[in-house]
Order: sequence, then C-alpha cells, then structure tokens
Amino acid sequence: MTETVFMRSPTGEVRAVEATPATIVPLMIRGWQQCDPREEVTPDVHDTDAGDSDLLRQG
Amino acid sequence: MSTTRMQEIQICFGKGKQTDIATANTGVQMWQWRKLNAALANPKLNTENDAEEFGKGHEFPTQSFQTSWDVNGTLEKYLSAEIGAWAMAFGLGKVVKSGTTPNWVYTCTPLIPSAGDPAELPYFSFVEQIRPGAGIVLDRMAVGCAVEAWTISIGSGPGRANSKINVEFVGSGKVTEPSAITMPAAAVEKLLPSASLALTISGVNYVSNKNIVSLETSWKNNLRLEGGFYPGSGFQTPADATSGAIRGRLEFGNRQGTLRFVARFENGSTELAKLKSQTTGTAVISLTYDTNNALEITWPKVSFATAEVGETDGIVTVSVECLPMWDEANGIVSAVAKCGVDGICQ
Repeated sequence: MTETVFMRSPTGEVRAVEATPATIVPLMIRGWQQCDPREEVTPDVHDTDAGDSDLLRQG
Repeated sequence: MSTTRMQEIQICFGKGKQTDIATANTGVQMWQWRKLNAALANPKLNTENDAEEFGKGHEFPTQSFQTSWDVNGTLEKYLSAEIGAWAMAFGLGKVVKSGTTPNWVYTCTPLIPSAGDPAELPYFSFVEQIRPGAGIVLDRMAVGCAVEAWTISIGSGPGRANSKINVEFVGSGKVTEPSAITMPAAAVEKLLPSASLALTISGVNYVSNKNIVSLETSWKNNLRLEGGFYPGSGFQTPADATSGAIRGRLEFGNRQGTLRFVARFENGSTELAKLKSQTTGTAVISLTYDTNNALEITWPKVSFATAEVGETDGIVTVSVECLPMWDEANGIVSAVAKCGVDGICQ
C-alpha cells in the first residue's frame, strides 16, 4: 500500500497525497506544505456557528 | 605546557531546525559529526573607531566601538546519506518527511516565495568544542546559522575522497560561550561512494555507457547578509547596545544551481550536438548505500551551456556545464534523501 502524507495548500486545503516525489514535488513548488493529519478536520472550529446547539440537533 | 591538536576539535549542530533565528537548538536536537577541514567557524567582531570625527584636535582614534558580529564556516565531509539529507533539507529549505524507521524519506525543494513560502531558510546552531569543561580550550555555539551553499563532488577512483560534500554556512552573529551543550555521541554515517553513482542526463545514461569521469553539482543561496542588520535586529548581549549588532534574519538572494560533468567523448557522443541544438532534458543523480540510505538529486530541465572537448589522462573527454532551468511542473531542483535518522529539519 502506498504511503500518504498530508499537504496543505496556500489557501488552506488539506489533502492526503501519495508520498512519492512525482506527486509531492509539483505541490511543494506551488506552496503546499506538509501538515498534521489532524488539520484535516479543524476548519469548522473557527466558524461563528461552531458549537451551536441548534446545529447539533439537525440531521 | 600541553599543545592542542586540531584533531581534538569536535563539532555538533542542529539536526532539527531552530524555532526561530534567535532560539538555539538544544543538545537533544543536535548530532555530532567528523569533518575533513580544519577551518573553524570563528566569530568575527567588527569594530569602528572615531578617527575621522572632528573636535578631537587630531586625526587619531581615541575610542573603539563594537559594531556587529559575523560567523561563517565550511563543513567538508565524505558524502553520506545522513549529511546529504541534512544539506538538502537545510540548503533547499522545504521538506516533506515520509517513511518510518529505518527508512525515512526527506523530499526537499527550494522555497518559492511567489508561492507563499518564506524567504528565510531553516536555522540551526553550530557548536565547536576542544576540551570543554575544566580544561577548556574552545567551547562556543553559533546560533541562527543558515546554509549558504552545498557542493557535491564525485570523482573517479575507489577512495572515499571521490564522493564528497562541502557545506558553507553563515550565522546570525549570535554566539554563546560556553555553549552549555553536552556533545552527543558521534553519528554513524552510511557513506554514498562514487562507485554507487547512477547518472542520466538528457536521456544519456553515463554510467551504463561507462563514460562518466567526474561530476559536480551545487546550490548557492546567496544569503543577503547586509539585510540581516535592520533597525531593531538586536545585539550580541540583549539590551546591551554596546555589544555589537547581530542579524535578525538571513534571507536568500538570487539562488543558483549548477551541474558540471566530464565524460569520455567518442563516436556517437551527443554533447556537442545538444549544445548546438540547446536540447533540454532531465538530469538525475543518484548515490546509494542501500535501500534505506540514498540520495537522489533531480534537475528537471537542463540544457548544455558549454561543452568543450579536451582530455583526461590521455583519453578524449568532453567537459559540460549544464544550465538548470525552471520547469513548470517540477521547479528548478528536487532532492530525495533516504536515511535511518528521524527528525532532520523538523
């Protein structure tokens, strides 16, 4: 199974990509940086409605 | 009275990067290496005086002032997987780490400010010690060092000297004496000998055709040394304005990559034709200890800037200087360094 690393784009997008130079290098030169896998699930915590109990009741 | 031999010098430096230019590596972040050159990273204190000031009645100086500090040094070493990984990571600046023990993989590229990357390379601390402790001869640490250049030289022959790396570095000027660093155990290196070379340039495999004689590839950051002294950059002794200024940043300037090689020239050799046609292609340089310890440097787009036919030991050879160019997909250069050491430039 191919190993993956997590990369974050200059705009904040987090993506798991194959840990091969052919995949990583083109991203690196475009400003993507290696990041912590946990960053993948954090964007919502700064939203103004994060933690809103009404949202929690939905769905 | 005892003499001190240069062979006593021990050096260690940051395997991991400093958190910023002013915060030194701790001992656990460092590794100790041997080196081949005797030169020391001597801190240089720059001074000025009042000789040219009017009002003294004469032209002679009456006072001297500490103005600033410089530190620079060179590491000359046999090329190993470990120092290769370190030089690529700190010299190019951008690193993605993957793998697991004992096969860590460091994919390194230059920082690209236009893509949002910083203009400062990762910093490390550099320690030199001779008999630290009660019988101290030398014990100091240069803080906030950055790689100015690295050069890898591959030659023909069986000895270790045919595969070497030179790393030049520059410091912020901040020096801690004594270093307060306990020298870690010497690192065990996996050498990358000349005989392990694999080399393909513009579609020609120079190893399988047995034509490669020597090769040199390098990267230079042209660090902006004067730009490090800006209003507020700081002093050797914090809050002591008489202790001399130190740099608060070391930004890279116009960077340059080079690739030169000498190969046997024979019927069917394509170097002169490629020079005339300005053919572009990829250059891949690989050196290997084993599956887990290797260094591969890729210049994705090179043309031949010069190609001159000459001779080496009576054999007709061609000396080629390549021009590395920016490739839209893969940039100017990338390096994939494999070794068993975790945490390089992390």
